[in-house]
Parts: sequence; C-alpha cells; structure tokens
Amino acid sequence: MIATKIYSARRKALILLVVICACVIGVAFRVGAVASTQTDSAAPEPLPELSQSTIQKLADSGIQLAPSDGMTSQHQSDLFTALVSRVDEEFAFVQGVDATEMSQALLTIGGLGPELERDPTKPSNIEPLFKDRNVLAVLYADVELPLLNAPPKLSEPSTYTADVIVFLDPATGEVLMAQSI
Amino acid sequence: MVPQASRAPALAKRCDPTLGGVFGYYSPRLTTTFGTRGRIEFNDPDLCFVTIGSSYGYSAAWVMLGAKSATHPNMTAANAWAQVGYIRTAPAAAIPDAPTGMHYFAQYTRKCKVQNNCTNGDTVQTVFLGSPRPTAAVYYDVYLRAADDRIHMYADGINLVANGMPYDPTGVWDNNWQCTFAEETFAEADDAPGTINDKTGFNYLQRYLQNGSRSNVETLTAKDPDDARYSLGPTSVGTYGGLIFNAWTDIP
Repeated sequence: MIATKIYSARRKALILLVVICACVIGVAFRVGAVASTQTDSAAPEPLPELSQSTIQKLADSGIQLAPSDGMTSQHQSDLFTALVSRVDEEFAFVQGVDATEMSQALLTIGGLGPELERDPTKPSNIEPLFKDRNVLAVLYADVELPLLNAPPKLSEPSTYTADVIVFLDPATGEVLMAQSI
Repeated sequence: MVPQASRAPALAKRCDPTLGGVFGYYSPRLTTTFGTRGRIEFNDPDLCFVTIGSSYGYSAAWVMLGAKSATHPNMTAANAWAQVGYIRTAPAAAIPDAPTGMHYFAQYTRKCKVQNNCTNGDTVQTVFLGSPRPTAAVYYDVYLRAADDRIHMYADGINLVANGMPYDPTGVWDNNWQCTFAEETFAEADDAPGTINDKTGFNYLQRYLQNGSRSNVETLTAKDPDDARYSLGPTSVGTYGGLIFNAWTDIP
C-alpha cells in the first residue's frame, strides 16, 4: 500500500515535471518566436540596386556610376539606416519620402566642377569635382522640390515633383550632391 | 519697413506656404545680353520647417538668366530660365552642427517647358551641391558658351550642371534675355537671407556680352516683397561703378 502510494507520488511528480518542462520549453519557444518576429520587422529590407533605367537617366545627365567593391545589399541598407537622419537634416526635401533604390558606387561627373576656362568664347575645361568618389547613391521617388520662378511671375512660391538621386558620403552621411532626374 | 516693435513674436510666425515669395531686381530684356553675373553675400537664414505632405521649406538667394519662350512669347507659363545661387533646405533647429542644410544650387527649365509641351510635371531640373558648401560671398555666373551653345551655371566658378543646360536655347528661348537678382522663401516664417544688422549684399551685378566681356547692368526694376517681414533696399552705385542693393528679413 505504502509502496503503491510512493510509486503513485513519484509518478505524479514525474508527470508534473514533464508538464513544467513542456511549459517552460513552450514559453521559451514562443518568446523566441516573438523576439525573432520583432527582429525581423525591425530589420530594414534591403533596397533594390539602382535600375538600368535610373543609371541611364544619370548617364544622360553626364553622371557615371561604376561598380564598387565591398558592401552587400544588407550592409548598404544597414549603413543607410544609420545615416538617414543626417540626410534628412542636410536635405530636408526627402524627409518623409521613402528611398526606392540604392547602390554603393564610384561616382564620376566629368562636367561638374571648377571651370578652368573662364573665357565664355572658348570651350569649357572642367576639373571634375567627383572622380571615382566612393558614394552611396540613393533614389527617392516623387520628391516635392522648389520651382524658383522667373519674372513676371516673381510672386508666389511653387513646387514641382520629380525623382531625386542623392549621393552620400558612406562614412559620414554628408550629402555631397542631389539632383532631380 | 515694418517697425520692429510691431512685429509678431517668433512663435506667431506663420508657416503658410502661400505667403513666401520672391523679391529682388530684374533688368530689361535685351538681345545684347548673353549671360549674367552677381556677387551675393552669404547669410544663414532660419526656416520654419512646415510639413506639407513631406517636410518642406527653403530660403534662397540667386542670380537668373531668363527669357520668354521663342515659340510661345505671350505665355507666361512657358517662361525660360537658368539660375544659380545658394539655398537652405533644413531649419537650424534640426542641425546640431551648423551650417548644414546649405547648398549651392542651379535650376533650369527643360526644353519641353519652354515649348509648353511637357507630358508630365517634370518641367525643370535642379542640382544641389553640398560639398563644398557656400560659406562666403562668391560670384554666381550664368552664361551662354559660344563653343558648345549651352548655358552654363557657375557658383564660385564651379559648373553645377554637368556640361551645361542640355539644349541650345537658339530658337527655343526668345532672343531678348534678362538678368534677375533675388531672394526667395517658401513660407512667410522662413527667413530670407540677411537680417537688419547683417543685410545680404548683391553687388558686381553684370551682364555678359556676345564677345564674352562683361558690362555693368545699367537698369534694374524692383520686385518688392509681398510680405512685410522682408525688405528690399534701393539700388545705389557701388565703389566700382555698378549697381548694388541689399535684401534682408526684418529681424535683428
């Protein structure tokens, strides 16, 4: 009788232990799953690389982008997330506008920079300001920009909407240049 | 000028975007004008940082070469221009280590806008240069280069639009070209560059002739500010013989 009771008590204790373990494992799994979900939702989705259409538009404006070694799309995205507040402060026209494409690249603009030939009757001779400059190129869609009117409409300010490419220094987030395209 | 004592306190300033505007001086349209130049002092205006859809607000000082459309001379909406200057795009409050938010900029009308046949709202192109930044009085030049028949826009000697405006203005722009020197804000509460105690000087106001030489702008017409917060001083003759003027916001 006593032996049966002891056996029964041990059995109950064992069952209780199994149940407790199952609960602990279940809770732990659940917490892990929630944490995993939260991490996933907080992690920025990598943006697509600059499209061929964008690259062609830039080329039409005299802006050349060459592939740059190194960053994965995720690394670019993480870097941009760290720099975005600086971008908003420096170039507030894109604040609140989602970036749509992004690439790390080497930027060369042959026609932009100090003019070495100051005589307007002679051909331009530019010393490029950006030559194989490592940049983060970020495209924003449908940005509202100022339309700075000419006379006789020198009165009300107005705006226009365009896609904008922003070139950032990947180390500091400094806005090196931006242009509607 | 509005007396200082009558001005509303800073917190009452309105960020209404319909109340900003442009003020400055413009020249007659002349066939002998092939470009323009002005030296603009640098000032660091504050913005009200209005939010309209996206965050917004700006304050600028600029030099412009403008014309009517050659094909639509009576349509003011088809006006043509190429301009260069400096612009602030973010308020001081958001900037811990000023000056940021300050850029050289250039803007020109696309050919389709001048010919009044654009198929979308993308009627102009704007370039913002953040490095180097404007920090001092420099010359701003806009002129037609004879060698490539393109209008080039320079800030402190830096060509901002790569290879210049991407079309020959001949037959697109009317032949009578105009020089304009102005400040511009988006909202009433955006400060225009300069204050009562540190006005923004526009000087060395010149136009380029066909042979590449420069001549002082002889005649200027005022476009006064629409808002009493801003002031436009009269023109006078500077020590070098050309016209000069000041522009500012009525704050100390």
